[in-house]
Amino acid sequence: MSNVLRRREIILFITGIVGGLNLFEYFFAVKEVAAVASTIRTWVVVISAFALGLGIITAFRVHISHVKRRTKGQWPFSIWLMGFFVLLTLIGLWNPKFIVYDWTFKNVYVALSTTLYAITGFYIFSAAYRAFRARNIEAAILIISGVLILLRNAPIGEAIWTGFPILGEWVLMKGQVGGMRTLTFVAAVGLVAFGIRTLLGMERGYYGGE
Amino acid sequence: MIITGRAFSFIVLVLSFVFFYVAIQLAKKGKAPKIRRMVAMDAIDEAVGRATEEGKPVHYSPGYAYASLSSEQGPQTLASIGILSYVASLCARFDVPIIYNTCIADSLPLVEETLRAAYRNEGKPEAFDAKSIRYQPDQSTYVSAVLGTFQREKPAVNMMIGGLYYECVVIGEAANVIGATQIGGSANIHQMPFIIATCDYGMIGEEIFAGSAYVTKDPLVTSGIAGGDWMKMLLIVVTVVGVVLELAGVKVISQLLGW
Repeated sequence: MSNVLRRREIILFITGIVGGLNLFEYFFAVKEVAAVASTIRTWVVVISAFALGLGIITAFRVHISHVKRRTKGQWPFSIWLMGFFVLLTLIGLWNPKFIVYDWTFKNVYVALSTTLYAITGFYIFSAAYRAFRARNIEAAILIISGVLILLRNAPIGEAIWTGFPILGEWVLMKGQVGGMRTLTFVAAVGLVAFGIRTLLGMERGYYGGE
Repeated sequence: MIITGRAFSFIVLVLSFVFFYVAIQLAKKGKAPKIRRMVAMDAIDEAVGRATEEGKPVHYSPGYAYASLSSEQGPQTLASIGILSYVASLCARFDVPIIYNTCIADSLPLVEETLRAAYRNEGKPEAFDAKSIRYQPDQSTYVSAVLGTFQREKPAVNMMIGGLYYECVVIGEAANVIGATQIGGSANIHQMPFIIATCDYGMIGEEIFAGSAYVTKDPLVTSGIAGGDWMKMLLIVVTVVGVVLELAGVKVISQLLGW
């Protein structure tokens, strides 16, 4: 049975019907089709919830395997992960406003998360150093643009010369807009092309096909 | 019957289908349209080859992508999984371990099936290890786990392709520290500077959507990319003509867009 359900034709048929109905509903005002498309979107929420559950089962299987095999440097953390998951799920189901549930999230997770995000600044600095090496004309233009933006944002730029913020503003609001809009444009067309290939069954990778 | 303001989009969609059909028919007749070379996709073989020589793993990651397949970033994750399928096949062929880190829980069954199929198709189903797929809930946890993976396992290659956010620069720089070859790609324009700054090869804009079709080298599939390129050319012509007509005070194109 599971082999039948995994058949490529069935996956393509479902993809085609669901995609086609939603496309039709987007362009045409037909009540009956809108009702069916709305129902399908409700199914998506339900199926996503199931997929989330499957994802958690997959993660547990991997971590149980780590614990069983005592994977070096990993298995104690696997116990932590599974233990906390079970504990917080139970507490959340019992009473989401329970102080332990709320406190651990606000005072442990949020704090750690913010700290990690904060170190992004240092990574951006080293990435900028890597990018700002004038190896060719394009890189030189990048450096000049980058420095102008820096001098626009930093107060010292205006203190050195009042023209720096104006030049930086021009780069930000005009100089780079055409390029960025082009990228947005081609990405959107590429997305449409990807959608069509998916609907026509020409995209095989996403369902594990050959 | 058609909803006001969507008629032009509908015409674009219909034309896209027509271009696809024409491109596929040409391919069937042995006259497959030429598509441009995608350097980053071509570099995948070379990168996996390097990992094989060094005896180190390949690391693959689809980015944060709002941690859900149902989000607006979902198509990027699906496109990324399509490319993963090819990367995993190469890894299976050359016996290179692949490590997949993600925070997108609802993609896990799909990823597991994709990797399993890649190993099965290479005739090595027993080599597939479910432990190579590592799930971390939420963005910061996932970023920390990737940094830890880099420090402990020192992969020879890092590929980050999908809906990337701030992890792009963090993971990219951490991979540079360990000297990994990097291939990055995203349709999120705010991350493109970081891809260019940190990666050896980058896919920008629509390239990640074309990537999984490109690697098949199947003329029937790659002709679809050409169909998309024709659509782009047509839209560029419409844009240029529209600008000229608007400057001349003729509002035909702008009225057509709002039709």
